[in-house]
Amino acid sequence: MIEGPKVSQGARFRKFALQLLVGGLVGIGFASGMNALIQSGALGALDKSAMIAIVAAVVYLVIGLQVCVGMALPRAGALMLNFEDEAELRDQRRIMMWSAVSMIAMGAMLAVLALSAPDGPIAPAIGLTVAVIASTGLVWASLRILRDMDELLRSVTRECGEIAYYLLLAIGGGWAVLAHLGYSPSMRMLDFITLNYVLLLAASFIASGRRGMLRMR
Amino acid sequence: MRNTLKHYRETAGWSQGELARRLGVSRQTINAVETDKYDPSLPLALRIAKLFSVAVPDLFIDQWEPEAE
Repeated sequence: MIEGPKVSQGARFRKFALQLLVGGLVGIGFASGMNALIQSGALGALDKSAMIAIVAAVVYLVIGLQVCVGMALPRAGALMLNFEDEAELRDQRRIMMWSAVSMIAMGAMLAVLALSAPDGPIAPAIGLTVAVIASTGLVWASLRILRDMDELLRSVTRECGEIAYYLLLAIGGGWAVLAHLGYSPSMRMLDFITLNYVLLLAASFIASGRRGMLRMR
Repeated sequence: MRNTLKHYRETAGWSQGELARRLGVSRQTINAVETDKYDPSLPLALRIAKLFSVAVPDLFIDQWEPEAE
């Protein structure tokens, strides 16, 4: 056997269907839960910026938790996380673990910032404390990941950074130009943080897609 | 850049995972190189060539030719 087990079209479809099903169910579950929580008024009177930030945070948290579940259940994890088999997932275990930590830290930080005062129920001092702890965890996890990355992943990470920068320049810069000239409302600081998160995620999909890493395996 | 890595790997009877292990990279890297999605660094290209006992230009095919003087 040269290329590992050959994957039939049927198996690929089942894999795709499972990924879609798990992602859809977890996403709908989280979204419904958040919606119920927001409607209950327990989170205070959140504005549009906070709501968008929470949606972005939930996406990060869902991806991070999905990776955790995938590692705990390697057979299902190989299907969910687009690995060829369990052995490949085990080879990449450390990177996946620290990636999950990074995603959860980023998601938690954004969620807490969105829920912090003046609009949310969390005191600014608590928001800042969580942001500092999450940022420290993020830097630490990133340094651990760097140790285990091979050259393809390093290259994808560099490209991701480049793409995110140009996207931010185009979208954030474009927004700033319009706001400066009075053609659009100014960006709030929370919008800027959310924009960074969303563009980073978009850039990571673009960079890994260009290297064929999103192709169903 | 077009390459013949898959040919040499299959001739050696190795899976992508086996080649990845021998080279100290991930299976994804081998897959990306074989599908022309990623050009390896010079050190990795040299290591691959050494592993298969071939020259780098036998593995990675560049159509570029110098202009005639």
